[in-house]
Amino acid sequence: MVSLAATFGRGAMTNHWVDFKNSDLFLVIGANPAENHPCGWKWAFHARDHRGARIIHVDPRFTRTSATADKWVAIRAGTDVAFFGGMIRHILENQLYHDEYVKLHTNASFVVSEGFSFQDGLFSGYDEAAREYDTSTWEYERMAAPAPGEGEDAAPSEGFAVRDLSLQHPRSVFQLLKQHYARYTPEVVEEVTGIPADEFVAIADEFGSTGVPEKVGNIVYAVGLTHHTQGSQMIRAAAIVQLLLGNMGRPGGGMNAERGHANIQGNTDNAQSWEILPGYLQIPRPGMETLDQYETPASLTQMDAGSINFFGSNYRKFMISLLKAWYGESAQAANEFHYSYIPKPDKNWSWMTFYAEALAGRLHGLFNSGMSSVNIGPDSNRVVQALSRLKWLVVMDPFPTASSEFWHGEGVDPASVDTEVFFLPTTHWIEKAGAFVNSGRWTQWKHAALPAEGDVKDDAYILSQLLLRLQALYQKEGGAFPDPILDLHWPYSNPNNPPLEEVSREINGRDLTTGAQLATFNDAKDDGTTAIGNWIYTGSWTEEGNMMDRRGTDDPTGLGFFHNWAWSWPANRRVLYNRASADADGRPWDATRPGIVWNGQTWKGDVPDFTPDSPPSEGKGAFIMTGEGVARIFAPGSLMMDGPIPEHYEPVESPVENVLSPTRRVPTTILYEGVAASFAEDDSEFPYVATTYRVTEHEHFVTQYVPYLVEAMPDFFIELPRELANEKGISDLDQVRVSSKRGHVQGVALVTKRMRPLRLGNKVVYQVGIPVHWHPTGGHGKGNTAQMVNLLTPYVGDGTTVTPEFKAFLVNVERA
Amino acid sequence: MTTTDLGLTIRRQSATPASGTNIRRDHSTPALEISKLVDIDLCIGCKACEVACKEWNDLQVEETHLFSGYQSHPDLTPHTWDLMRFNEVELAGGALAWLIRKDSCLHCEEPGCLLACPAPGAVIQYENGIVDFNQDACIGCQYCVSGCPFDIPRFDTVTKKVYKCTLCIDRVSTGLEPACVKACPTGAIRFGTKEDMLAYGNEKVEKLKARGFTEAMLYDPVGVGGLHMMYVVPRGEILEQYGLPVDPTVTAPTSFPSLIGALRKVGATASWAGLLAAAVYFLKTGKRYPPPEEEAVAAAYEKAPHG
Amino acid sequence: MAEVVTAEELAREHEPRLIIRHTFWVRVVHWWTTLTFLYLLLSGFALGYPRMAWLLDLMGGGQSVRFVHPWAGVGFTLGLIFMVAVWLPSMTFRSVDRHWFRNLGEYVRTGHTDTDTDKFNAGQKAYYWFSVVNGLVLLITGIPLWVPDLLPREWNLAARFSHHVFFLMAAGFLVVHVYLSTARFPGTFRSMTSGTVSRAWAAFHHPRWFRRVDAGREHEGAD
Repeated sequence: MVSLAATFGRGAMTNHWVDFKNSDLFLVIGANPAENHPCGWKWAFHARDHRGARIIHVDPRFTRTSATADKWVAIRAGTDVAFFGGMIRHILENQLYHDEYVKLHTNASFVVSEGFSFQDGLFSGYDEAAREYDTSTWEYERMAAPAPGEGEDAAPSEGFAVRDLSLQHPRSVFQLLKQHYARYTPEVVEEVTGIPADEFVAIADEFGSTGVPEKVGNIVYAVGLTHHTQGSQMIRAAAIVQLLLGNMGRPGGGMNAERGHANIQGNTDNAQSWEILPGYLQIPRPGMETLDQYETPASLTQMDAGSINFFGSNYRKFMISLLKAWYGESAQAANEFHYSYIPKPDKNWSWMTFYAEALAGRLHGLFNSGMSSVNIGPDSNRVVQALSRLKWLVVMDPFPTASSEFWHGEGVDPASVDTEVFFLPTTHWIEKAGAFVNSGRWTQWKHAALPAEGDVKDDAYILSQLLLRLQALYQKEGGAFPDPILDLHWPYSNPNNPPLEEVSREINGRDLTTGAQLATFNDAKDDGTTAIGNWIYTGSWTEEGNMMDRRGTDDPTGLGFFHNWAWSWPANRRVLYNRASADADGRPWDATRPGIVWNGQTWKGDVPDFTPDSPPSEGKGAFIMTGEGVARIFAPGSLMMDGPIPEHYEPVESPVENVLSPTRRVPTTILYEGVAASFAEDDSEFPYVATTYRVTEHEHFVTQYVPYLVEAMPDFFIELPRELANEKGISDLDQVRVSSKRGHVQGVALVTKRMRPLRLGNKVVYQVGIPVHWHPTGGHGKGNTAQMVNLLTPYVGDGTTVTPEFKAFLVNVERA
Repeated sequence: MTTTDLGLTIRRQSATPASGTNIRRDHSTPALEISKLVDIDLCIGCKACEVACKEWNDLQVEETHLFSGYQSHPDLTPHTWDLMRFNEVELAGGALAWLIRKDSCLHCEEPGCLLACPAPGAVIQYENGIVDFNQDACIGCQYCVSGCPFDIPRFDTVTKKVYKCTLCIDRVSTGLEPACVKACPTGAIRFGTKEDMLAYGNEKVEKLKARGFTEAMLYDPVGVGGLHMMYVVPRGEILEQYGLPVDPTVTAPTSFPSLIGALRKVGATASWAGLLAAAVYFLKTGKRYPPPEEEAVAAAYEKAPHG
Repeated sequence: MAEVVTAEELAREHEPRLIIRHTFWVRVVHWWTTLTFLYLLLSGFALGYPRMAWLLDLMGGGQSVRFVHPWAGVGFTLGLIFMVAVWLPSMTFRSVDRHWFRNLGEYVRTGHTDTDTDKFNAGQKAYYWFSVVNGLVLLITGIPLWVPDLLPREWNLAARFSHHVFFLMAAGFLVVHVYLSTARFPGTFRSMTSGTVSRAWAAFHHPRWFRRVDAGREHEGAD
């Protein structure tokens, strides 16, 4: 999500599920939508049946998606940057890119500052000791202020980026891109990814063929790209392909991140990650003592005359409205609306950091809510050790989890665990109303399907009790800095268990003067007269009622926008950046698939992701959330911590050296205390590449409690290629033991033709697949063979986002 | 919609001559025929239909274990009427195909089970084409199992009855689609009139041919009079690999129902003819008494070999 | 307990010159096979002919019939085995049987030939052997119908067809057997009730056997 924000301005699937019906070609990579997103994936089939679309699947395994795709190629897990890098090269070399689009809607024409360089796999500014980049050279060359007397009438341009619309400037993003990816030849791609060069070229040609206005290609991905040490760069690389081909902002196109579970998108939108506040406002950093100090660096400065810079110019309004929602009456201009209450973390506080801190004895208590540390986190043995060092652990869940039961799990001596574990049974989402935000940002209200069973409480009740009882304690006993807790605004009809309808209204926001629900975030104020829980959701519950509960099926354009079905953030837009679906004159690239069209007075079609009445002649950029006004092929500054242009590195555990540079691993991954020794340095002991995944019969860990689903997919298994099984004397259904440097699991061997050996140069590499769903506390599916795959995974995360590496690591396989 | 429109009157029942009950519809107009259609091209093998079938029909959970690939049960059972069958096939040229087929009752127009069943009313065919089992009348002989060219009915050793998909007759009769259709996330399982399903299927086959599946076919074999659950099969050239018989026959003169039907006619005719002939012979020739004792004994001794 | 007065003794009390043709155990075996066969025949018709399915209800319902029919088949086969054990010597074909077959036409027309018939004539022997062989075939083809899991579907269908064919043959010959032993030849049926026949009957139908019995060379009722 960070990488999409760095590229386009927002971290979300750019199009939506129904829009898949408008695509001509799908490149599915790092995803298994037929298996994991079957309801949405039907729209790809719809496109194939109704407009002759084709589906290409690139994946380490032949999955249910491959079975229904038109083409499948096997790729080595964790090498997707090389794949996309090769595609970028192929597109540039063969002039397959959409020239007009690239000039109009991307920063290809922007000139990068002279200090920027790239050598031996490292960008300029690397500090090896800190494993960090000083990103100050990753900037555009800026215009100086016009000389006095010269161009008095000209618009102010000081600080704007220098552009060369001919794309010929040697330091233009376009030329840098060409230069950077010149190394990614089909032969190199083959040696890195295992995809034969001719097959790779065929795919690159086919997908490259969508670089014309009348065709639209769609890249569909999921955690198969995200869960890598270079996951965000894989996504960036794919996004660059889509920008070069002019597939962004257009119906049928896009970078379509399939989100897991029912509500992960809603989770992200509402600040599930440590580094953001609701609505993707940045968490302040130390030194940002005042709102002014916060706003200036955090928000985005205008860098081009054409930039609307919507986010940058409204940042303060959204932040103050958020503070008003949180702190109510006590938040006043005089006290900066309690901005000072917002934590300013001094380091990366990703959830992997929690366990490192707990292990070091610096973190004492942890809540698990909608989360199970032991089996969701990587290197479960390490996480169990971390939990054992806590003073207390609270698990809020409908069912016991591997975390609530960790203290008497396999290999754990309860006597050695001092952690006090509280299990608070909660209602399941089936038992309560609320909203789900799907991958395509459709915020859909749902109703309780069943009454709650047994002595369980809503999460809202538990969290309210926590707050109310803490407030009471602080009032009674006092304590250090009680203000953020005592001043927290809790304006619900039932403070003990706030109705989620009221919470949703609060998230939408209201005008504090009139008391009316806000209809749009354009009405947000920075004077404390509006309170908004999450500005991107403004419009979801207006004076007209709960827009998320709408079920209108009218679709006047026939393009599947369905504006009256539920509600889509932002502003009920269905395709993000839809201004880019039209050319400089506001005419759609493809008249049969217009996103929005300028009709002389206004933009029509989808809800415009643009100023609705800004004529094309004003020349405003299509990407209103960026300071550039265009999408970023080159991600300047510290948007990405591990490089402004994606570069291939090997996974932290890899059977081969990096063919492309001497820098083997992502240079900026955080190496937590003591983890370096837990990585296999080469393939001598652990020769096989393992990857993890989900199967359609199960939903993460919870469906191990559903007997019919356990019946449908009963046993923990290990998928092995036939050739490897033969070599190791393993037969189908044998018990096998899979071990990594961190742990081992045992399961049933599923010997299959669907896993294929890969040839990398002179080396043959086997990949094995291990599904995630099993765990020892798993209800009906438990038992000796119900083992957690995360006993094997490495404790390392993405170079920018610190999302754990679940998808590529080394193991050994033996008959048990 | 009236009940007649749903084709819910009985067309025929097993082992029951003249078992049709329809008086509602004008017999000159064809009955409304319904059909499911499984578009294998759209099927992702998610087993939602399998689970929905078990849930709707309250079928008990069975303990399963991985036995081969992703398939949940080795075979249909009395408690599993819908099973996703998986088959990994290497095609000519080295490409891989993962053939996935929803296996459940195909509701033949000429149902081998019904024709084989000796228990009156144990197998029922409705006007709309649904073939259902009435376990009350089932005698547990399992002739239907042998009679079915698709190996669908399953015998339960506890109740000693046979079970299979009912095409959710309980749902269809209230105007709902079958549970598997409702649960299918991709629209691979469709439901409607046979006419509409044929139209969809034929159109889809043309699309598949255009996509390079030159042997794509609509599986609706004439040998069983057509199906009320048809398949769109992308790779018609390897039908058996999907687990579908190439040429199932129930109606052919050499098929079992035809032969046994002919034999019954011969048998019935011969039985009555034999009894009649015996009676006529008796009337003609009457009783044959032995002669008086002395005469008979003398004759017996006359026959004794001499010397 | 007093000595049981047997059926043969009672019959001879009434008509002293009767000859004993079938002893008590032979008659038991015969009626055992008769009853099991009749059950099999009727239930076979009920299962094989939809228009006779009403018989199922008379026989305790379809489920009972499905359960009993195979066991009745086993019972019938046991009877056959006893019959083989008891009658094998008497039922062996001899040279004299050729004469009977040559005069089959006369037998059909007049009910008699001048063959010097022993205890059983060639037709009876033929029926006997037909029953044994046919019974075995019905047993063998009946097993897959009883336990359908044993064989593939096609074999089960073939078995069911064959079972039906042999069933019809058995039914046809039964009509002949019953007709001849009741309606056609008076004095025959009693041989399977009281076990006795008249001297005239014996001398007329089975002269060779009669002479042996009459001369006391063979114990009455021996087989």
